[in-house]
Amino acid sequence: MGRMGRRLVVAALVTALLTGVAACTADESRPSRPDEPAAGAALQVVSLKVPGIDEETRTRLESEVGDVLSRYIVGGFLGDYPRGDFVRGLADFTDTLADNGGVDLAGLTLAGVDGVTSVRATRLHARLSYFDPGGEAVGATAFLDLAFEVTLEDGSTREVARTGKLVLGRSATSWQVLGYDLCCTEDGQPVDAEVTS
Amino acid sequence: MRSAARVVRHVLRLLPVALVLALVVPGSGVRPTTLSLTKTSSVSAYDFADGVVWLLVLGEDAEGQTDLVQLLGIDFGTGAAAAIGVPRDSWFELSPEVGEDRINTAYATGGAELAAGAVERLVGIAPDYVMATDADGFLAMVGTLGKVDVDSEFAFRAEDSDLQVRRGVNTFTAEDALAFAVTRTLVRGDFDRSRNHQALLLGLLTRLQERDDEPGFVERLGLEAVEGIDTGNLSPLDVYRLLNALTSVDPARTSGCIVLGTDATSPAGGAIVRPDRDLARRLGDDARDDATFDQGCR
Repeated sequence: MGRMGRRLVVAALVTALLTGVAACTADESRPSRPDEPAAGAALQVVSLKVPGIDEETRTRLESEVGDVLSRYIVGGFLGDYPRGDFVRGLADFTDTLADNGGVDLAGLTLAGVDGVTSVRATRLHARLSYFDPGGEAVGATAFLDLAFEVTLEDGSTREVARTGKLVLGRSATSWQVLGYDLCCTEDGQPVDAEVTS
Repeated sequence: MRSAARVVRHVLRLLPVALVLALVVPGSGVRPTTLSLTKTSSVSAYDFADGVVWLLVLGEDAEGQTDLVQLLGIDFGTGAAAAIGVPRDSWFELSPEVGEDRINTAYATGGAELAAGAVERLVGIAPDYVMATDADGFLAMVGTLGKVDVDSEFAFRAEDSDLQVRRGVNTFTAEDALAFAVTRTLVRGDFDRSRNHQALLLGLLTRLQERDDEPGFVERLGLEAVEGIDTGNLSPLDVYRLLNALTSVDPARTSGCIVLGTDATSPAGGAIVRPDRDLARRLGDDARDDATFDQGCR
């Protein structure tokens, strides 16, 4: 499947699962009121105040960057399980980074969790800061705070979280992910052991 | 994020120890217990360039001469970084057209192209990018970074300043950092000053990494760079990418060497340094492909 094909699939999934970027706010003093999509929490995108970026531009940037984040979240975490196509989450990464991301796929997505039957987003927060030399935003950092409730084959659930950042840059036509620095926790997996005195 | 990553690595290192300790703790016989494990890991990568990137960093004085000449090699794949310092009075053929002169005149005479070409003639490495700043740009950048910790090899009193530098770690304001960088009255003059420049650059890198998780910080720093520094062939987006990519450099894998030389007198009677060209080439050859000095600085 070509890059355009992958994007169409991702776009369809975004529509079906996340109902778009549910809410955008112009500054952090106005919290968003997201809709509640079928896949759980909606993506909440807020921007740091940037002098020189008016509200209309900020809303547009939140939408553009939010679309990239949505595709990452849907491709990397949500969707119908069982699945093995987590690399879809890297569709907006640069080619070099996507190759590298293959190595880090378990950290970037849910690829490292076995026996998943369903996933529900419980927290999808993104704070954006913009790099706008000359008044035009050509770069952005998305500080992410993501959490998912993962249901496993045995019926148990566990929380999987990802926090950190994606660094994005805008080419002539689109935003791309230029870098990532993410940390993750996967809680609640019980392990039986015996203690011997 | 970096501190979180360290915590994660620390937790991962301690996890086997914790498990062993839990299993050997004396108790009342064999009893079942349940351990709740937390699997953690962190991932980080930035797309700036493949292989080693060589960046020529120049710092101009009030007359437009570059007192700071550092060729920085960064391997974004491994996190290693190497600095080759060229003392300002190094005298050699800058180009066939210009002839011999001090390296610190190259940027004023022929811009980034001549400066890069001259360093390439000396070290054998062609810089991919050239960045030059004057005192105002330096102060603005360091001011945005905030106070910076610099590990000085020497104790000395800075020139034209009340700054007393002690051997070891010093916390500098932007003005202090400038005074530290311009002082020449050191035991080995410009050789030691070039070493000070490397210590300062490492301090700035560390400061960047301490603050890069503050929302908006890298963006503010990028704006200062674009507005206050001659970034040469780097586009604003390239500057942004570079600043972010620098956060992946491992300070523990950085090293610096100086192109030493012998004192001499220029045809006009000025004090110059004849650089050790063999040393310069050795340093370049050693660090070219991996940004490390496997053979040391000699």
